[in-house]
Amino acid sequence: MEKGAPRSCDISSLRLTIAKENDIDRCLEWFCSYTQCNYAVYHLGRSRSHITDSPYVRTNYPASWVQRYLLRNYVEIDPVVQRGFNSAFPFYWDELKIVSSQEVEFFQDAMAHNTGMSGFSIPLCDKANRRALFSLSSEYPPQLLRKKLNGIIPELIEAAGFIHQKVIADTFFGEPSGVSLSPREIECLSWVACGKDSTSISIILGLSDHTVRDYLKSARFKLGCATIAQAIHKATVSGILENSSHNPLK
Amino acid sequence: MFVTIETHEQPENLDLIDRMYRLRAKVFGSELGWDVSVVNGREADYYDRCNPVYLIWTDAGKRELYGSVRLLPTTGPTLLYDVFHDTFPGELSLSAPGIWEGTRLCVNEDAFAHRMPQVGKKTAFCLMLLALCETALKNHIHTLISNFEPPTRRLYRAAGAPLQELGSSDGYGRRPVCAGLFPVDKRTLDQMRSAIGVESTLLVADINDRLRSVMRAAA
Repeated sequence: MEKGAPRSCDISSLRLTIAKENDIDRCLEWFCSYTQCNYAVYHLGRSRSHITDSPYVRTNYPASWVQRYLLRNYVEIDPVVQRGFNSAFPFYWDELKIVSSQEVEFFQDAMAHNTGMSGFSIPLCDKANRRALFSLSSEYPPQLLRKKLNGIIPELIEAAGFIHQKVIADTFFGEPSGVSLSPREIECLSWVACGKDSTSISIILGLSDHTVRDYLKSARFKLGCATIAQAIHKATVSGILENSSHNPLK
Repeated sequence: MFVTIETHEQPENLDLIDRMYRLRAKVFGSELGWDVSVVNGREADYYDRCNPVYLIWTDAGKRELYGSVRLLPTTGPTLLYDVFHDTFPGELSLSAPGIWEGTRLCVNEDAFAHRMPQVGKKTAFCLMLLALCETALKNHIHTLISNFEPPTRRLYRAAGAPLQELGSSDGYGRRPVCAGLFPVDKRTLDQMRSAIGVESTLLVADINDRLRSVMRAAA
Protein backbone atom coordinates (compact mmCIF):
# COMPACT_ATOMS: atom_id res chain seq x y z
CA MET A 1 0.00 0.00 0.00
CA GLU A 2 1.33 3.38 -0.96
CA LYS A 3 2.31 5.57 1.98
CA GLY A 4 -0.25 8.22 2.64
CA ALA A 5 -2.84 6.73 0.35
CA PRO A 6 -6.24 6.96 2.01
CA ARG A 7 -7.87 3.67 2.95
CA SER A 8 -11.15 4.71 1.49
CA CYS A 9 -11.94 7.52 -0.93
CA ASP A 10 -15.02 8.88 -2.61
CA ILE A 11 -15.42 6.46 -5.50
CA SER A 12 -16.56 9.18 -7.91
CA SER A 13 -13.01 10.51 -7.94
CA LEU A 14 -11.42 7.15 -8.85
CA ARG A 15 -11.74 8.04 -12.54
CA LEU A 16 -10.18 11.46 -11.94
CA THR A 17 -7.27 9.94 -10.06
CA ILE A 18 -6.61 7.20 -12.60
CA ALA A 19 -6.96 9.60 -15.56
CA LYS A 20 -4.20 11.85 -14.29
CA GLU A 21 -1.91 9.16 -12.85
CA ASN A 22 0.57 8.03 -15.49
CA ASP A 23 2.43 5.43 -13.45
CA ILE A 24 0.68 2.08 -13.94
CA ASP A 25 1.84 0.63 -10.61
CA ARG A 26 0.50 3.65 -8.78
CA CYS A 27 -2.78 3.28 -10.67
CA LEU A 28 -3.07 -0.24 -9.26
CA GLU A 29 -2.41 1.08 -5.73
CA TRP A 30 -5.06 3.75 -6.18
CA PHE A 31 -7.54 1.12 -7.31
CA CYS A 32 -6.86 -0.86 -4.13
CA SER A 33 -7.22 2.22 -1.95
CA TYR A 34 -10.52 3.26 -3.46
CA THR A 35 -12.10 -0.18 -3.46
CA GLN A 36 -10.44 -1.41 -0.25
CA CYS A 37 -9.25 -4.45 -2.17
CA ASN A 38 -5.89 -6.04 -1.46
CA TYR A 39 -4.47 -6.60 -4.91
CA ALA A 40 -4.93 -5.46 -8.48
CA VAL A 41 -3.67 -7.02 -11.73
CA TYR A 42 -3.59 -5.66 -15.27
CA HIS A 43 -2.91 -8.40 -17.82
CA LEU A 44 -2.54 -7.62 -21.53
CA GLY A 45 -2.84 -10.64 -23.83
CA ARG A 46 -0.31 -10.47 -26.64
CA SER A 47 -2.67 -11.91 -29.17
CA ARG A 48 -6.06 -13.47 -29.04
CA SER A 49 -4.92 -16.94 -29.95
CA HIS A 50 -1.98 -16.87 -27.54
CA ILE A 51 -3.16 -15.13 -24.41
CA THR A 52 -0.43 -16.79 -22.45
CA ASP A 53 2.39 -16.04 -24.88
CA SER A 54 4.72 -13.71 -22.95
CA PRO A 55 1.96 -11.46 -21.68
CA TYR A 56 2.41 -7.97 -20.29
CA VAL A 57 1.38 -8.06 -16.62
CA ARG A 58 1.45 -5.43 -13.89
CA THR A 59 0.40 -6.28 -10.37
CA ASN A 60 0.96 -5.49 -6.72
CA TYR A 61 0.66 -9.12 -5.65
CA PRO A 62 3.50 -10.17 -3.33
CA ALA A 63 6.65 -11.05 -5.27
CA SER A 64 6.62 -14.57 -3.78
CA TRP A 65 3.21 -15.30 -5.33
CA VAL A 66 4.14 -13.76 -8.70
CA GLN A 67 7.30 -15.91 -8.82
CA ARG A 68 5.41 -19.05 -7.93
CA TYR A 69 2.70 -18.22 -10.50
CA LEU A 70 5.33 -17.86 -13.23
CA LEU A 71 7.40 -20.84 -12.11
CA ARG A 72 4.42 -23.15 -12.12
CA ASN A 73 3.04 -21.62 -15.30
CA TYR A 74 -0.28 -21.07 -13.55
CA VAL A 75 -1.46 -18.82 -16.36
CA GLU A 76 -2.33 -22.02 -18.25
CA ILE A 77 -4.59 -23.15 -15.41
CA ASP A 78 -5.86 -19.94 -13.77
CA PRO A 79 -9.66 -20.02 -14.36
CA VAL A 80 -9.82 -16.22 -14.01
CA VAL A 81 -7.51 -15.79 -16.99
CA GLN A 82 -9.16 -18.56 -18.99
CA ARG A 83 -12.58 -16.99 -18.57
CA GLY A 84 -11.44 -13.36 -18.65
CA PHE A 85 -9.97 -13.59 -22.13
CA ASN A 86 -13.07 -15.40 -23.38
CA SER A 87 -15.79 -13.11 -22.14
CA ALA A 88 -17.02 -9.56 -22.39
CA PHE A 89 -19.04 -8.96 -19.22
CA PRO A 90 -17.24 -8.36 -15.91
CA PHE A 91 -17.51 -11.23 -13.43
CA TYR A 92 -16.98 -12.13 -9.79
CA TRP A 93 -14.69 -15.04 -9.13
CA ASP A 94 -17.32 -16.95 -7.14
CA GLU A 95 -19.17 -17.40 -10.47
CA LEU A 96 -16.29 -19.46 -11.86
CA LYS A 97 -16.91 -23.14 -12.33
CA ILE A 98 -13.96 -24.86 -10.72
CA VAL A 99 -13.90 -28.39 -12.04
CA SER A 100 -10.46 -29.89 -12.53
CA SER A 101 -8.21 -30.92 -9.68
CA GLN A 102 -5.54 -28.64 -11.15
CA GLU A 103 -7.87 -25.67 -10.71
CA VAL A 104 -8.70 -26.66 -7.15
CA GLU A 105 -5.00 -26.98 -6.31
CA PHE A 106 -4.31 -23.64 -7.93
CA PHE A 107 -6.86 -21.87 -5.74
CA GLN A 108 -5.63 -23.69 -2.64
CA ASP A 109 -2.12 -22.53 -3.42
CA ALA A 110 -3.34 -18.98 -4.02
CA MET A 111 -5.18 -18.99 -0.68
CA ALA A 112 -2.04 -20.29 1.02
CA HIS A 113 -0.27 -17.19 -0.32
CA ASN A 114 -2.93 -14.91 1.15
CA THR A 115 -4.06 -13.61 -2.22
CA GLY A 116 -7.59 -13.13 -0.97
CA MET A 117 -10.86 -15.02 -0.81
CA SER A 118 -12.72 -13.18 -3.51
CA GLY A 119 -12.18 -11.27 -6.71
CA PHE A 120 -13.70 -9.30 -9.55
CA SER A 121 -12.47 -9.13 -13.15
CA ILE A 122 -13.14 -6.77 -16.03
CA PRO A 123 -12.39 -7.89 -19.62
CA LEU A 124 -11.03 -4.98 -21.69
CA CYS A 125 -10.59 -4.51 -25.41
CA ASP A 126 -9.80 -1.80 -27.92
CA LYS A 127 -10.48 -1.05 -31.58
CA ALA A 128 -7.32 -2.95 -32.58
CA ASN A 129 -8.84 -6.01 -30.84
CA ARG A 130 -6.15 -6.07 -28.17
CA ARG A 131 -7.53 -7.92 -25.17
CA ALA A 132 -6.70 -7.31 -21.54
CA LEU A 133 -8.00 -8.32 -18.16
CA PHE A 134 -8.13 -6.14 -15.08
CA SER A 135 -8.74 -7.88 -11.76
CA LEU A 136 -9.13 -6.95 -8.12
CA SER A 137 -8.79 -9.46 -5.33
CA SER A 138 -9.86 -9.09 -1.76
CA GLU A 139 -9.74 -10.78 1.62
CA TYR A 140 -13.48 -10.10 2.00
CA PRO A 141 -15.83 -13.05 1.66
CA PRO A 142 -17.41 -13.10 -1.84
CA GLN A 143 -20.77 -11.72 -0.68
CA LEU A 144 -19.14 -8.75 1.04
CA LEU A 145 -17.06 -7.96 -2.03
CA ARG A 146 -20.24 -7.92 -4.13
CA LYS A 147 -21.81 -5.55 -1.64
CA LYS A 148 -18.80 -3.24 -1.86
CA LEU A 149 -18.44 -3.25 -5.65
CA ASN A 150 -21.94 -3.71 -7.07
CA GLY A 151 -22.86 -0.03 -6.99
CA ILE A 152 -19.60 1.19 -8.52
CA ILE A 153 -19.02 -1.23 -11.38
CA PRO A 154 -19.43 1.34 -14.21
CA GLU A 155 -16.85 3.53 -12.48
CA LEU A 156 -14.45 0.56 -12.19
CA ILE A 157 -14.94 -0.42 -15.84
CA GLU A 158 -14.14 3.08 -17.03
CA ALA A 159 -11.11 3.52 -14.80
CA ALA A 160 -9.79 0.10 -15.88
CA GLY A 161 -10.29 1.25 -19.49
CA PHE A 162 -8.03 4.24 -18.76
CA ILE A 163 -5.31 1.91 -17.52
CA HIS A 164 -5.55 -0.08 -20.75
CA GLN A 165 -5.24 3.14 -22.78
CA LYS A 166 -2.19 4.19 -20.76
CA VAL A 167 -0.47 0.85 -21.19
CA ILE A 168 -1.10 0.84 -24.92
CA ALA A 169 -0.18 4.47 -25.46
CA ASP A 170 2.67 5.15 -23.03
CA THR A 171 4.29 1.95 -21.95
CA PHE A 172 3.86 -0.53 -24.68
CA PHE A 173 3.64 1.14 -28.02
CA GLY A 174 5.49 4.40 -27.48
CA GLU A 175 3.80 7.73 -27.95
CA PRO A 176 0.03 7.90 -28.41
CA SER A 177 -0.78 7.77 -32.08
CA GLY A 178 -3.20 10.65 -31.81
CA VAL A 179 -6.83 10.43 -30.83
CA SER A 180 -9.33 10.74 -33.63
CA LEU A 181 -12.63 12.29 -32.69
CA SER A 182 -15.58 12.13 -35.03
CA PRO A 183 -17.23 15.28 -36.43
CA ARG A 184 -20.21 14.80 -34.10
CA GLU A 185 -17.98 14.44 -31.06
CA ILE A 186 -16.05 17.59 -32.00
CA GLU A 187 -19.28 19.50 -32.57
CA CYS A 188 -20.66 18.50 -29.16
CA LEU A 189 -17.41 19.29 -27.34
CA SER A 190 -17.19 22.67 -29.08
CA TRP A 191 -20.70 23.60 -27.99
CA VAL A 192 -19.91 22.67 -24.38
CA ALA A 193 -16.81 24.85 -24.67
CA CYS A 194 -19.18 27.69 -25.62
CA GLY A 195 -21.12 27.12 -22.44
CA LYS A 196 -24.03 25.10 -23.82
CA ASP A 197 -25.45 22.22 -21.80
CA SER A 198 -26.45 18.91 -23.37
CA THR A 199 -30.13 19.92 -23.59
CA SER A 200 -29.31 23.08 -25.58
CA ILE A 201 -26.92 21.12 -27.80
CA SER A 202 -29.59 18.51 -28.43
CA ILE A 203 -31.91 21.28 -29.71
CA ILE A 204 -29.18 22.83 -31.87
CA LEU A 205 -28.19 19.51 -33.45
CA GLY A 206 -31.65 17.96 -33.54
CA LEU A 207 -30.61 14.95 -31.48
CA SER A 208 -31.90 13.58 -28.20
CA ASP A 209 -30.33 14.74 -24.97
CA HIS A 210 -29.15 11.18 -24.30
CA THR A 211 -27.47 10.96 -27.71
CA VAL A 212 -25.57 14.21 -27.11
CA ARG A 213 -24.37 12.89 -23.76
CA ASP A 214 -23.23 9.70 -25.51
CA TYR A 215 -21.14 11.71 -28.01
CA LEU A 216 -19.64 13.70 -25.15
CA LYS A 217 -18.86 10.58 -23.16
CA SER A 218 -17.32 8.91 -26.19
CA ALA A 219 -15.13 11.98 -26.87
CA ARG A 220 -14.12 12.14 -23.22
CA PHE A 221 -13.26 8.43 -23.07
CA LYS A 222 -11.25 8.53 -26.31
CA LEU A 223 -9.25 11.42 -24.87
CA GLY A 224 -8.69 9.44 -21.65
CA CYS A 225 -10.32 12.16 -19.55
CA ALA A 226 -12.45 11.83 -16.44
CA THR A 227 -14.49 15.00 -16.99
CA ILE A 228 -15.82 16.95 -19.97
CA ALA A 229 -13.87 20.00 -18.80
CA GLN A 230 -10.62 18.01 -18.98
CA ALA A 231 -11.61 16.65 -22.38
CA ILE A 232 -12.17 20.17 -23.74
CA HIS A 233 -8.84 21.29 -22.33
CA LYS A 234 -7.01 18.33 -23.84
CA ALA A 235 -8.75 18.66 -27.21
CA THR A 236 -7.98 22.38 -27.27
CA VAL A 237 -4.33 22.05 -26.28
CA SER A 238 -3.75 19.27 -28.80
CA GLY A 239 -5.40 21.36 -31.53
CA ILE A 240 -8.26 18.94 -32.18
CA LEU A 241 -10.92 21.57 -31.54
CA GLU A 242 -9.07 24.56 -32.97
CA ASN A 243 -8.14 22.96 -36.27
CA SER A 244 -11.31 21.10 -36.96
CA SER A 245 -13.73 22.18 -39.65
CA HIS A 246 -16.43 20.59 -37.48
CA ASN A 247 -16.01 23.21 -34.82
CA PRO A 248 -19.29 25.12 -35.26
CA LEU A 249 -17.66 28.42 -34.34
CA LYS A 250 -15.21 28.33 -37.20
CA MET B 1 -36.27 -18.55 -21.66
CA PHE B 2 -33.64 -15.98 -22.49
CA VAL B 3 -29.98 -16.77 -21.88
CA THR B 4 -26.74 -14.98 -22.59
CA ILE B 5 -23.87 -17.00 -24.00
CA GLU B 6 -20.33 -15.66 -23.82
CA THR B 7 -17.33 -17.22 -25.58
CA HIS B 8 -16.35 -19.30 -22.55
CA GLU B 9 -19.88 -20.77 -22.44
CA GLN B 10 -19.95 -21.77 -26.10
CA PRO B 11 -18.56 -25.31 -25.63
CA GLU B 12 -21.67 -26.37 -23.69
CA ASN B 13 -23.99 -24.56 -26.13
CA LEU B 14 -22.58 -25.61 -29.49
CA ASP B 15 -25.95 -26.73 -30.85
CA LEU B 16 -27.67 -23.43 -30.03
CA ILE B 17 -24.82 -21.42 -31.53
CA ASP B 18 -24.98 -23.52 -34.68
CA ARG B 19 -28.75 -22.99 -34.90
CA MET B 20 -28.15 -19.27 -34.51
CA TYR B 21 -25.67 -19.20 -37.42
CA ARG B 22 -28.18 -21.09 -39.55
CA LEU B 23 -31.05 -18.79 -38.59
CA ARG B 24 -28.92 -15.77 -39.42
CA ALA B 25 -28.07 -17.25 -42.84
CA LYS B 26 -31.77 -17.72 -43.52
CA VAL B 27 -32.90 -14.31 -42.27
CA PHE B 28 -30.07 -12.03 -43.40
CA GLY B 29 -28.79 -14.00 -46.38
CA SER B 30 -31.92 -15.49 -47.98
CA GLU B 31 -34.81 -13.33 -46.77
CA LEU B 32 -33.32 -9.85 -46.46
CA GLY B 33 -30.62 -10.35 -49.10
CA TRP B 34 -27.92 -8.62 -47.09
CA ASP B 35 -24.37 -8.85 -48.31
CA VAL B 36 -23.33 -11.40 -45.71
CA SER B 37 -21.07 -14.38 -46.10
CA VAL B 38 -22.90 -17.69 -45.86
CA VAL B 39 -20.81 -20.85 -45.71
CA ASN B 40 -22.42 -24.29 -45.39
CA GLY B 41 -25.74 -22.64 -44.65
CA ARG B 42 -24.29 -20.65 -41.75
CA GLU B 43 -23.71 -16.93 -41.47
CA ALA B 44 -20.77 -15.88 -39.29
CA ASP B 45 -18.24 -13.09 -39.61
CA TYR B 46 -15.13 -11.57 -38.05
CA TYR B 47 -17.13 -10.06 -35.17
CA ASP B 48 -18.28 -13.50 -34.07
CA ARG B 49 -14.61 -14.10 -33.21
CA CYS B 50 -14.32 -10.90 -31.15
CA ASN B 51 -15.76 -12.27 -27.90
CA PRO B 52 -19.39 -11.26 -28.51
CA VAL B 53 -22.20 -11.97 -26.08
CA TYR B 54 -25.22 -13.65 -27.64
CA LEU B 55 -28.64 -13.13 -26.17
CA ILE B 56 -30.59 -16.24 -27.10
CA TRP B 57 -34.27 -17.03 -26.77
CA THR B 58 -34.63 -20.78 -26.33
CA ASP B 59 -36.73 -23.37 -24.53
CA ALA B 60 -35.99 -24.88 -21.13
CA GLY B 61 -34.14 -27.80 -22.72
CA LYS B 62 -32.15 -25.47 -24.99
CA ARG B 63 -33.28 -27.43 -28.02
CA GLU B 64 -35.25 -24.82 -29.93
CA LEU B 65 -33.98 -21.43 -31.04
CA TYR B 66 -36.61 -18.68 -31.06
CA GLY B 67 -34.38 -15.69 -31.58
CA SER B 68 -30.93 -14.23 -31.14
CA VAL B 69 -28.94 -11.00 -31.10
CA ARG B 70 -25.20 -10.33 -30.90
CA LEU B 71 -23.76 -7.84 -28.43
CA LEU B 72 -20.34 -6.20 -28.66
CA PRO B 73 -18.80 -3.40 -26.58
CA THR B 74 -18.00 -0.30 -28.65
CA THR B 75 -14.59 -0.08 -26.99
CA GLY B 76 -13.61 -3.07 -29.18
CA PRO B 77 -14.11 -3.85 -32.87
CA THR B 78 -17.74 -3.38 -33.90
CA LEU B 79 -19.55 -4.08 -37.13
CA LEU B 80 -21.44 -0.78 -37.34
CA TYR B 81 -18.32 1.29 -36.76
CA ASP B 82 -16.49 -0.53 -39.54
CA VAL B 83 -19.34 -0.92 -42.01
CA PHE B 84 -20.87 2.52 -41.71
CA HIS B 85 -17.59 4.33 -41.20
CA ASP B 86 -17.32 5.64 -44.77
CA THR B 87 -20.94 6.73 -44.96
CA PHE B 88 -21.32 8.16 -41.46
CA PRO B 89 -17.91 8.96 -40.03
CA GLY B 90 -19.52 11.22 -37.45
CA GLU B 91 -22.54 9.35 -36.30
CA LEU B 92 -21.44 5.83 -35.56
CA SER B 93 -18.02 6.39 -34.07
CA LEU B 94 -19.25 6.14 -30.48
CA SER B 95 -16.73 4.23 -28.41
CA ALA B 96 -16.99 4.13 -24.63
CA PRO B 97 -17.75 1.74 -21.78
CA GLY B 98 -21.52 1.40 -21.34
CA ILE B 99 -22.19 1.89 -25.07
CA TRP B 100 -22.65 -1.44 -26.87
CA GLU B 101 -23.88 -2.50 -30.29
CA GLY B 102 -26.56 -5.08 -30.91
CA THR B 103 -26.51 -6.63 -34.38
CA ARG B 104 -27.99 -9.62 -36.24
CA LEU B 105 -31.21 -9.37 -34.25
CA CYS B 106 -33.58 -11.99 -35.64
CA VAL B 107 -36.45 -14.24 -34.70
CA ASN B 108 -37.18 -17.76 -35.89
CA GLU B 109 -40.63 -17.60 -37.48
CA ASP B 110 -40.66 -21.35 -38.21
CA ALA B 111 -40.02 -22.21 -34.58
CA PHE B 112 -42.87 -19.97 -33.45
CA ALA B 113 -45.19 -21.45 -36.07
CA HIS B 114 -44.45 -24.97 -34.80
CA ARG B 115 -44.23 -24.44 -31.07
CA MET B 116 -45.86 -21.15 -30.16
CA PRO B 117 -48.25 -20.33 -33.00
CA GLN B 118 -49.92 -17.72 -30.79
CA VAL B 119 -46.78 -15.57 -30.93
CA GLY B 120 -46.65 -13.45 -34.07
CA LYS B 121 -43.49 -12.02 -35.59
CA LYS B 122 -44.18 -8.57 -34.21
CA THR B 123 -44.67 -9.80 -30.64
CA ALA B 124 -41.60 -12.02 -30.91
CA PHE B 125 -39.48 -9.11 -32.10
CA CYS B 126 -40.78 -6.82 -29.35
CA LEU B 127 -40.02 -9.43 -26.69
CA MET B 128 -36.49 -9.85 -28.09
CA LEU B 129 -36.01 -6.09 -27.78
CA LEU B 130 -37.34 -6.09 -24.23
CA ALA B 131 -35.03 -8.96 -23.25
CA LEU B 132 -32.19 -7.03 -24.87
CA CYS B 133 -33.06 -3.98 -22.79
CA GLU B 134 -33.13 -6.05 -19.60
CA THR B 135 -29.81 -7.71 -20.44
CA ALA B 136 -28.24 -4.32 -21.07
CA LEU B 137 -29.52 -2.84 -17.81
CA LYS B 138 -28.27 -5.82 -15.87
CA ASN B 139 -24.80 -5.48 -17.39
CA HIS B 140 -24.17 -1.75 -16.99
CA ILE B 141 -24.95 -0.88 -20.61
CA HIS B 142 -26.66 2.52 -20.91
CA THR B 143 -26.83 2.81 -24.70
CA LEU B 144 -27.46 0.26 -27.45
CA ILE B 145 -26.55 0.98 -31.06
CA SER B 146 -28.28 -1.13 -33.66
CA ASN B 147 -28.92 -1.51 -37.38
CA PHE B 148 -32.24 -2.34 -38.95
CA GLU B 149 -34.25 -2.28 -42.16
CA PRO B 150 -36.55 0.74 -42.56
CA PRO B 151 -39.74 -1.32 -42.02
CA THR B 152 -38.37 -2.45 -38.66
CA ARG B 153 -38.77 1.10 -37.34
CA ARG B 154 -42.39 0.38 -36.53
CA LEU B 155 -41.37 -2.64 -34.46
CA TYR B 156 -39.09 -0.50 -32.30
CA ARG B 157 -41.99 1.89 -31.92
CA ALA B 158 -44.38 -0.94 -31.03
CA ALA B 159 -41.88 -2.14 -28.43
CA GLY B 160 -41.74 1.35 -26.89
CA ALA B 161 -38.00 1.64 -27.51
CA PRO B 162 -37.07 5.34 -27.83
CA LEU B 163 -35.02 5.00 -30.99
CA GLN B 164 -32.75 7.83 -32.12
CA GLU B 165 -31.98 7.35 -35.78
CA LEU B 166 -28.42 8.19 -36.75
CA GLY B 167 -28.46 7.53 -40.47
CA SER B 168 -29.02 5.04 -43.23
CA SER B 169 -26.81 3.48 -45.83
CA ASP B 170 -27.37 2.13 -49.32
CA GLY B 171 -25.35 -0.56 -50.98
CA TYR B 172 -25.48 -2.95 -48.04
CA GLY B 173 -28.18 -5.19 -49.41
CA ARG B 174 -31.33 -4.86 -51.45
CA ARG B 175 -32.69 -2.04 -49.31
CA PRO B 176 -31.08 0.72 -47.28
CA VAL B 177 -30.02 -0.22 -43.77
CA CYS B 178 -30.57 2.25 -40.95
CA ALA B 179 -28.60 2.71 -37.79
CA GLY B 180 -29.84 4.11 -34.55
CA LEU B 181 -29.34 4.07 -30.84
CA PHE B 182 -31.59 3.74 -27.89
CA PRO B 183 -30.96 4.71 -24.30
CA VAL B 184 -31.27 1.95 -21.74
CA ASP B 185 -32.46 2.95 -18.31
CA LYS B 186 -35.29 2.26 -15.91
CA ARG B 187 -37.51 4.67 -17.82
CA THR B 188 -36.94 2.87 -21.13
CA LEU B 189 -37.62 -0.45 -19.43
CA ASP B 190 -40.92 0.76 -17.94
CA GLN B 191 -41.93 2.33 -21.25
CA MET B 192 -41.20 -0.90 -23.14
CA ARG B 193 -42.95 -3.08 -20.60
CA SER B 194 -46.10 -1.02 -20.75
CA ALA B 195 -46.00 -0.81 -24.57
CA ILE B 196 -45.65 -4.59 -24.88
CA GLY B 197 -47.84 -5.43 -21.91
CA VAL B 198 -45.28 -7.30 -19.85
CA GLU B 199 -45.18 -6.63 -16.15
CA SER B 200 -42.05 -8.33 -14.88
CA THR B 201 -38.67 -9.57 -15.97
CA LEU B 202 -38.23 -11.86 -18.98
CA LEU B 203 -34.76 -12.92 -18.04
CA VAL B 204 -35.60 -15.53 -15.47
CA ALA B 205 -37.63 -18.70 -15.39
CA ASP B 206 -40.25 -19.82 -17.81
CA ILE B 207 -41.92 -17.07 -19.75
CA ASN B 208 -44.88 -19.04 -21.04
CA ASP B 209 -47.17 -17.65 -18.35
CA ARG B 210 -46.12 -14.14 -19.23
CA LEU B 211 -46.60 -14.84 -22.92
CA ARG B 212 -50.22 -15.66 -22.21
CA SER B 213 -50.68 -12.30 -20.53
CA VAL B 214 -48.93 -10.64 -23.45
CA MET B 215 -51.32 -12.35 -25.83
CA ARG B 216 -54.28 -11.14 -23.78
CA ALA B 217 -52.90 -7.61 -23.86
CA ALA B 218 -52.32 -7.80 -27.60
CA ALA B 219 -55.79 -9.21 -28.31
